[in-house]
Amino acid sequence: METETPHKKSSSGFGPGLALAKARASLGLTHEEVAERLRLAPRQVQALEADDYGHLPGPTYVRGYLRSYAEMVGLASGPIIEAYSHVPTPNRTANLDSIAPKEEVTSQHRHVRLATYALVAIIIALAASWWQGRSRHRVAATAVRKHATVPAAPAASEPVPPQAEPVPQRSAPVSQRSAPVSQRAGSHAASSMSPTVAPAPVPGHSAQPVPVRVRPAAALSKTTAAPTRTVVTGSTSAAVAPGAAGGRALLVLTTTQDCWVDVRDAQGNKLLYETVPAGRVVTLDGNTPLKVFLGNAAGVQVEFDGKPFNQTPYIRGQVARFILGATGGH
Amino acid sequence: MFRTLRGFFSSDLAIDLGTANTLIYVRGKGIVLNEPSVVAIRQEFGARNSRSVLAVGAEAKRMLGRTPGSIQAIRPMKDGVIADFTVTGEMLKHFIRKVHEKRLFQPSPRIVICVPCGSTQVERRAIRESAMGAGAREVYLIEEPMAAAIGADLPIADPTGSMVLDIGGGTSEVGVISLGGIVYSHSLRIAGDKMDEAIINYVRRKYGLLVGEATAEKVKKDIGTAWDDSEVRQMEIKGRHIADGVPRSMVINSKEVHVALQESLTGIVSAIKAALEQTPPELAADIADKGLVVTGGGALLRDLDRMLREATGLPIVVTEDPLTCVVRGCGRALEETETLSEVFVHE
Repeated sequence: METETPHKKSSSGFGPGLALAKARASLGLTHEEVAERLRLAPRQVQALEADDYGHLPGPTYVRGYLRSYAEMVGLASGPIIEAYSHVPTPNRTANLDSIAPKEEVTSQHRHVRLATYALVAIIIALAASWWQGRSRHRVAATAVRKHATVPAAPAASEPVPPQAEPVPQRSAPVSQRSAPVSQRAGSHAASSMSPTVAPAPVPGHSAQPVPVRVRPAAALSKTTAAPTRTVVTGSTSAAVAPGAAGGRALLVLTTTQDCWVDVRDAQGNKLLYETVPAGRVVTLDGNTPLKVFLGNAAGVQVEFDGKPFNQTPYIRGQVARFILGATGGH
Repeated sequence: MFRTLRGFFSSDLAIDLGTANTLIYVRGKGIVLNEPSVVAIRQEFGARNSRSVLAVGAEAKRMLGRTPGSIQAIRPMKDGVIADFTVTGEMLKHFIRKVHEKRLFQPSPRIVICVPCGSTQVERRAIRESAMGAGAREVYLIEEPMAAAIGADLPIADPTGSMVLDIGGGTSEVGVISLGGIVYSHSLRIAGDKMDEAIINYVRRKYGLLVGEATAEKVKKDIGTAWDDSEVRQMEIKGRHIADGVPRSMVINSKEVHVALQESLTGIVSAIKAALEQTPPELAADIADKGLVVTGGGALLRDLDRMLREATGLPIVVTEDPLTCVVRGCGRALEETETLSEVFVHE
C-alpha cells in the first residue's frame, strides 16, 4: 500500500517523469488513457510523471510501472530505469526485519553459554581441589603408617629404650622417646606446649633406630609447668610426667584396632592427629577441655584422669566425638 | 563431526534447482553458477557394466538429442521435482564441487534450496536427501513463490498483499504473500517445458516436421510472443519430415508460435484468476492497486505482461533479471537466516 511520506516533487528533471510526460503529450494521451492502458490508477500515472515515488509502492513496482509506461509511449525502458535509479528514494530494499522471530534465550545464547562454561569451570575447580586435598591426606596417612610400622621391630628388640637411656646422667632431663607415630603429634604438642624447648643432638643418636628427642635440663627447667607427653609404643607402660595442675588432664588411649584419633586441647592445638595402629597405648597431657574424635571408637579404650571413660554413648556409626574435662561434665 | 569441521572450509549455498536451469548463489559472493539441469551419463557395457557421469550442465545440454546408444543426456528434474534421484545427486555434487574448486577438503556447506509449493512431502524429502547426499551439512527448503517474492524485493513483511507469478521450466507458481507468510499458493505444471512441447506438437501437426526440444526452445525464446498483435517475427527451423523421413527446413512466424502457446498461456491466466478468487478481499484490493509481479524465465516471453494485463486487468510488473529472481531470494534468505528463518519450510 501507499506509504504516508511527504510528496517529493521533482522539478529538477533528474527523474524519468518529465521524459514520460513529454512522450505522453506528444502522443496526445491523457493521464486517464495511459492509466487505462497500464491498468493503473490515474493518480499513480501522475505520481510517476511527477517523480513522486512516496505515494507509490516499493521500488520493484515503480520500476515495473516505468518500464511499461516507457514501452507504451515508445521510449526505451533502459534509460528511464537508469534515471529512476539516480533518484534518491528511501527504503530501496524491502525491510524484512519485522518477520524475524522474537529472540528467545536458548542454550545457544551467548550469555547462557558463558554462564554454563563458568559453572562447569567452577565445578571442575572444586572437584580438583577436593581431589588434591584427598590425595594429600592419603599420602600423609600412608607416610604415618610407614613410620609407625617400621620401628615396631627395633622397639621390640630394644625392650627398655627409656630406661636404657641414661636419663639421670643428663642432669635429670625428662627424656622422651617417641616413636615416629607420635612424633608428629609430639611436634604439634611441643610447638604449643613448650615452645622454648629446643631439641638437642643426642650422643649415639645415629645408633638409635628410633629417633629420640632429648630436652636439656636447662630448657626443661623452664618448662616444668609445661605439659609433657610421652608415648610408649607396644605394651610398655608409659612413664608419665606428673599431672599438670589447673585444668590439665591426662588422657590415655589404648587401641585394640587401628583407629584415627584427633585430640585437641583447649587452645585448639592438635595433641594427636593420626591413625594409631592397634596394640598401642598413647598418653596425652594437655589443657582441658580436650576435644576427642575417634574414627574407630570401638577399637579404643579411653582413660581420662586415671579413670576409664566410656565413649559408647558418643558413638555414631563408627566414630565418636566428645569433649573431656569440660566444665559441668564431659 | 567431520561434516562440521569441513563446514569451516565450505561456503554456504542457495540453489534454485530448476527443471531447466540450476543456479547457485554463494554466500557473500552472489550468483556464481547458472547451468542447464542436464547430465550426460555414459553407460559402459561388458565387464565393467557401470554408469559414469560424462558431462554436466551446458556441456551436457549440447549433447541433448545428439547422443549415441552408450550415452544418455538426462534432465533429472521434471515438473519442478526430482525425476531421477541418483542423477540429481550427482549433478548437485558436481555443481557444489564446481563452486568450491580451490578447496582442499570436500565441501560440506549449508544449503537453501527452493521447492515448488505444490510438491509433496515425498518430493521435498527427495530434494533434501539428494542435497544431503551431495555433501550438504544442513538443508533448508523454501517455497518458490516466497523465494521469488524475496528475490523481487517485495514488501512481504508488511501487512499488504503481494502477488507473485513465477513461470519456470517445469512449473508455474502463483502465490499471494502477506506478513511474511503465504496466504495462497498454487503450482501448475504448465511452464517453459510445456510451451516447448506445444511448439513441437504444433509444427508436427501443421507442417509434418519433427523438431527437437532445443529447436523448440530457441523458437520460443527468439520469436515467441504472448500477445496476438505483437510485431511479427520469423525464423527458419530444421527438422525431420515425418512423411519423407528426410531433414527439411521451413520458416515459422511469431503468430504461429502464439497460436501454439495459446493453450499454455490460457492455463496460466486461469491459475491467476483462481488465485484472485481465493484471495481475501482486502489482499485482493492491495493486489489490484499494486499489481502482479512476474518472475522466472517465462517472464521473458515477449509481450507476456501485455497479455496478462489485458487478461487479468491488473498492473503487471516484470522483475529485473527474472531468471535469477528465485535464486536471489534464496540467497537473501541464506544471508539473513536469522531474520528470515520463518520463511523456511518446516516439515
